[in-house]
Amino acid sequence: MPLGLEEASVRQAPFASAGLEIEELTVRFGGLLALNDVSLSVQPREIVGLIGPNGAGKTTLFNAVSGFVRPTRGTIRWRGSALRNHRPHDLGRLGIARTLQGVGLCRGLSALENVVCGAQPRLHADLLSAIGGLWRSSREERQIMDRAESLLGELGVAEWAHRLPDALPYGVQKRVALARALISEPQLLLLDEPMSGLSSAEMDDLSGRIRAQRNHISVLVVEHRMDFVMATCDRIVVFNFGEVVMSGTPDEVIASPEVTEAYLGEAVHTFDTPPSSPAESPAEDARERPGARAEIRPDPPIPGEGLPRAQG
Amino acid sequence: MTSVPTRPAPVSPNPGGSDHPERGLRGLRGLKPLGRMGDRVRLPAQPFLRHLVFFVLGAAFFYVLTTNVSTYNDFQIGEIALYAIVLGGLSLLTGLNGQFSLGHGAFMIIGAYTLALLQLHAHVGIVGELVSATLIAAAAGVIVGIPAARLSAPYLAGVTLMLALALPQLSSQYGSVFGGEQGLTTTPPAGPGSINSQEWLAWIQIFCALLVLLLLANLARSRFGRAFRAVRDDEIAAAISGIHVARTKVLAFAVSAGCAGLGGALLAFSTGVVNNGEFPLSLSIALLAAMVIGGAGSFVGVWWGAVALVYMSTWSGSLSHQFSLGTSAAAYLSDAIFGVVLIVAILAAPTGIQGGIRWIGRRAWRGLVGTPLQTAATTALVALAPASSTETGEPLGHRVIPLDGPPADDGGSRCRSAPAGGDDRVSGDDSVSGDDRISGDDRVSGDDRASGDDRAGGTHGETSTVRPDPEHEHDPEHEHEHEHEHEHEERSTP
Repeated sequence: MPLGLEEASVRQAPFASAGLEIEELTVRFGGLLALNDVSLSVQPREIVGLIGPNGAGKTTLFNAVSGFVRPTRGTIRWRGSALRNHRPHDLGRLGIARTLQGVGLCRGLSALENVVCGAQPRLHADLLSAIGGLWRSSREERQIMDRAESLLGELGVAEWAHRLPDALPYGVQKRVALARALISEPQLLLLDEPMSGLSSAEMDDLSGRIRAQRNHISVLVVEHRMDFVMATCDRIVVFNFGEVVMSGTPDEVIASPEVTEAYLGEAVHTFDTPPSSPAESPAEDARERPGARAEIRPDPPIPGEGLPRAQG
Repeated sequence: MTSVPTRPAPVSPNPGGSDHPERGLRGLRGLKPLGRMGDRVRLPAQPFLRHLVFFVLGAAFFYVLTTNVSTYNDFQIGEIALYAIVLGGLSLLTGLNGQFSLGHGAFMIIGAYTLALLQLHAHVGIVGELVSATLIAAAAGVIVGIPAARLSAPYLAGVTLMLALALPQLSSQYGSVFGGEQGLTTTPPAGPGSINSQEWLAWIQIFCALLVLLLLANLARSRFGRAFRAVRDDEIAAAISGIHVARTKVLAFAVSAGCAGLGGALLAFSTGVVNNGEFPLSLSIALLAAMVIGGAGSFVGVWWGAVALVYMSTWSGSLSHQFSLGTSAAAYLSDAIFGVVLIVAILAAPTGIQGGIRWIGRRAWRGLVGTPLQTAATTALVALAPASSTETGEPLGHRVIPLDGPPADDGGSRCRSAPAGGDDRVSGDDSVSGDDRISGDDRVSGDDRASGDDRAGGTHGETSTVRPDPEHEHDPEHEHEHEHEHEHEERSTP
C-alpha cells in the first residue's frame, strides 16, 4: 500500500514536466552568503540526498524552496513553473511537503491531530458550516481523521495516535512528523534530517518506508547519517560553504577525492590517521562502505582545511 | 525503543477503526475494574449533537434557576451570561490560539455603542441590533487582528492595552454622536405578555450565551479550531502544514472580538445606559483574570469566570460594608480580592476552576471504582446515553479520553504548562483538556498525562515493552462507561 498517495492521484500527477529545478540560487543574509549560485534538480521519482557540513546551506536551500526565505537571485522551478512569491502555507497546494529539523510537532495536539493538520490544504469546510457544526464540516473531519489514522497505521505508530507528542518516543515523533507531511499527498517531499536521533534499527525501518515512496514522489533529503544517505539516495549533492561541491551517485561521491577532502574529512586513504577534529561526536555513525577507501565521518565540524573560499 | 520500529505493521484489520456496535454492550457486561492505566472514555460521536445536549441542559438549568430567584438575581444571572460570552471569546483567543488581549473591554464598548446607536437611529429589532453589534465588533477585531497577527505576546498586550485606553476617548471627542460623558440610553427589550422584563432580558442573555458557546465549541472542534491550536503551539510547524498563520490569528481575533461586542451590547441592555464609565480599563484586565480563573480554553470554565466577575464586586461591597469601609475602599477591595483569587486559582488549579473540577471528578470516580454505586451509576448513564455513539462508525480513537486521575507528578506538568508570563502555555494542555467535550480533541492531553506518564518517564527500551497488549489497546469495555460518567460530571457543572 503506497503511503500517503492514492492510485488515482499518482496517475494524475503531472510528471510530464521536470520535478524541482533550482537554478543559480543565491541567498544572502546581510553580509553572509548562505547559498552561492546553487543549481540542482530533483527528477520525478528520484531520491536526492543533500550532504555537507553544518552551515553549508542545506537547510537554507530547504527554506528557500519552502518559502521561508526569499532568494536573492536565481530561480526555483517546480513542475515547470517558477516559484516566486510562495509562502510556506502554499506548499500543500503546490504538492510539496516538508518535515522540520528535529520534530516540529505541535505539542498541544495529539499525534493524530498533528497529522490531520498536514491535511489542512485538502480541507474545504467553510467557516459557517464549521461554526454551525454542520454535516459538511463534521463529515470532512471524520474522513480526514480516518485517513490520518490509517496513515499512522501504515507507519506502524497507530497506537500512539491519541497521545501528545511529548509523551512519544523520539522515533515515533519522527514518524508522526513524516505522516503529517505525507497526508497532503505531496509529489515532492523535503526531509530535513529525518534520521537524526534515531537508532540504527529505527533508521533502517524508516529508510525502507521512505524508499517505498519512490514510485510515487520525489524526495529531497538533508541528512548527516552517511549510511542512510548512501543506501537510500539515487543521487547525492554535496554542499560546502553554500556551494555545490559535486553531485553524483553515491559511488561517485564516495570515490571522489575532491569530496572526501572537502567534506568527509582528512582521513583519506588511510585509517591510521587520527580524527582531526576533537569535537567529533562518537554517537554519530561512521560507516565504511565496501569498496570505498575513505573513512566516512558524517558531519564533521567545518574543516578548517576545507575548500577555502572567499565568503561575502 | 528498538522494538518499536521493527514492529510489524498494525494488527488492526481496519486502521480507520470503525467501531463494532457491540462494544458498548460488552463493556457493560464486562465491568472490569476501572481506573487502570489505559482506561478511556468514549464520547458521543457527533460533536454537534454533543454540544446541543449541553445547550439544552444549560437552557433547562437556567430556566429553573431564573424562575425561582428574585428579580435582582435574574439581573445578575443575565450579567453572568453576558460575561460568559465575552470570556468565551477571550478563552478561544488565549486558550486555543495563544494570543492575548488586554483590551477586550474596547470591543465591548464597540458592541454597546453599536446597539445604542441603532436603537437611537434605526429600528432593526433586537436580533438585528445584536447581530450588528457582533459583526461590527468582529470587523474591529479584524482591523486590530491584522497587525496583531504580526506581533508577539508583549507587543500584542501593549497594543490591545492602548486600544482599551484610547477607544473610550473617542466617545468624549465626538460627544454629539456618542452622547459625551452621559453616554446614550438603551431600552431593554420588552417581554411578551406579563413576563417580568428583567427575567425576559436574562433569558435573552442566557440564550445568547448558550448559543454563542455552542457555536464556539463547534468552531473549536472544526479544522479552524485545530488550526488555532496548531498556530498556538508552533507557527512554523503550522505553516508547513499548510495553515495560513496570519489569517488564522486574525480569524481568532475577529471571533473573539465579535463575542466581546455581543457581550457589550447585552451589557448595554442590562445597564440601560452606555458610557465610558461602564467600561473602565480595569474591566479588560478583570476579563483576562476571570478567563484564567475559569480555565483558559474551556467553554464550561467561562461560567466560573463570569460568576467570579459578577459576584466579586458584590461580595466585596458587602464585605467592606460589614467592616465599615468607605466607598472608595470598597472599589479597591474588589480589585484586591480579585487579584488574590487569581493568585490562589493559579496556584491551586493552574488549569482554572474547570480543570480543578475535572481533576477532582476523576479522583472521585476512581474512589468509587468497583463499588455497587459506581456500577449503578454506569448502568444508568449508559441507558441514558444517546445510541449514536456506537452507530456512526466513528474511529475509536479520536473520541477517546481517559478518566484516570492525574498521577502524582501532575502538579509539575501543570505548573510547567501555566507560567504566569502567559504565553500559549497558559492555555496549555491541561486547561484545554479541562473541557474536552467542548474544546474537542484536546481531550487526549489528559490521556498523556494520565497513562502516558510512565512511558515518557521510562527509558525508551521500556517504552516499547509497555505497548498495550491487544486486549488493553482496544479496551472498549471501559470506554463506554467512562464516557457516561463523564457526561454526568459535566452535566453537573453549570
